[in-house]
Amino acid sequence: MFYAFAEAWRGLRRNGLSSFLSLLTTFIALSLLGATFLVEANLRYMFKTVEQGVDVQAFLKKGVSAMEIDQILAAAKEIPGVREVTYVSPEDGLKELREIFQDMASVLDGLETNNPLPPKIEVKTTGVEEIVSVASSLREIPGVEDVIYQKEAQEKLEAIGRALQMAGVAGVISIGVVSVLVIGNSIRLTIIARRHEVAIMKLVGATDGFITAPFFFEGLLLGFFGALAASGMLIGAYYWLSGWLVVILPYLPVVPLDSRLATDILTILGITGLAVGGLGSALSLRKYLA
Amino acid sequence: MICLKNVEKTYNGHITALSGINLQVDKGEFVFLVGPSGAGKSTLIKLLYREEVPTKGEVSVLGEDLGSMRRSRIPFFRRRIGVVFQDFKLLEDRTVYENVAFALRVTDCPSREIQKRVINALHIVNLRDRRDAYPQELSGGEQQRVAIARALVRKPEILLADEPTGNLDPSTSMEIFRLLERANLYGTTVVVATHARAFVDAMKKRVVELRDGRIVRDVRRGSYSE
Repeated sequence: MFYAFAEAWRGLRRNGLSSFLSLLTTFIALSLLGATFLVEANLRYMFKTVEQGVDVQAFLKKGVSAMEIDQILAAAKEIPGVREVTYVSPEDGLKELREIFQDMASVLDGLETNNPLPPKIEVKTTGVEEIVSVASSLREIPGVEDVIYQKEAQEKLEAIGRALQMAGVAGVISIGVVSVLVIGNSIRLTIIARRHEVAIMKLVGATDGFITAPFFFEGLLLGFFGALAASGMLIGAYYWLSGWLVVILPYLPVVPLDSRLATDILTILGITGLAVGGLGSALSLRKYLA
Repeated sequence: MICLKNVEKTYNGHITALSGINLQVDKGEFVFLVGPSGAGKSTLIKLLYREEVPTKGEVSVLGEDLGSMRRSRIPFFRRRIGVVFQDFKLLEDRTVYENVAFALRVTDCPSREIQKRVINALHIVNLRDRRDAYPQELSGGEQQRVAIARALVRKPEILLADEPTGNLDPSTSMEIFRLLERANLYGTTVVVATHARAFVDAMKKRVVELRDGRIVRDVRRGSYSE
């Protein structure tokens, strides 16, 4: 094992330029993969933040008593998936409208005396997936006239999430395939460059495993070092970029760079790098052995 | 030890390299394969270390039928044989010591044992002082001695040499033949394909002559030509 690693290291150093180019390609491919991961992580974070603001509104029957309102609020709080319940009186509702339409305040003139707005409760759910069940539970509470929620918005959010996930998966797969081919080609070139040595190995009784192990480890090392370099670059770039975004766009939710995110990047890229390197070598070696 | 029965070897279905070869070599023998270029000497040597397989007939070496040998078995078979070539086949980026040690490393031999045996092999070929030199720093004769040390370091039962002195001057060639003879004295069976008429005549060993892919002469204590 030690011998195979030593030989792999020797191979990397001996074919300096070829190794460097493979490393560079792996670095670029894995950087793209890492960047895709970070963008997706941030989009998810953004959705999560947006989702938390999605309301279900339950309009109450006009003329409900204060006691009934208390009962409705208590019943709403009991519904699974409900995070927060707020009562909005007809007067508060009108104030909200005035804030929204402050440039057209005259439209709302005279409504104070004959307020048409029903009392309502605003419900915040723990997540998008809870909205439908929360809405139907709210409908069953006595005193609730109607329930509305932004079904379309929710569906759109889900659709965007799915599309992004698919694009991410497709991107990662295509980048992964390119990396496998590049490393595979690099190993193939190494094998060709060392065919004289391989012939001598066979002559002195080296097994296929002994001959191929250094090439396999060489692929693993290329993948690993590419992953290490890409992780370092991404973590550095993300540190700088997230700091900059917080300053210029303070309301934009950005995943903070903490040790967990850094570990995630290192783990994802490290495992992918090793897998890509190993797979690339294995494919070339299988061809060579055949 | 080596037994060929009705062996035929053709390339591309119509170029006949060997035909009707019947040969038996016993343990401890020293055999010269002689004959003009293209007679089939190198092909015969290649059959003996399973670089080639016969088109027809049987090749049995060290009790193994090479024609039906599984691919995974070949390395273990080759570890029992040493092979020396005209072009030495040394690893240019490794020292003399590393080149010889290489033959033991592939067998998972312990490092301490490798060191002992390599030093011993280099002592036999008189290259202990050049252990740290690279092949390009050595003369042709020295390089061939490294190749012989590499072949002998595993104490092979058979030593095959294909034109081992083809690139060397007469006095250096003499050294190489002496080394092969010395290996033979220690019990290794030696088969040498060569054009070195003077040495074949001087050494008085068994001579097998090939011509157009056939054995035309097989003489104990023979000479290069009749």
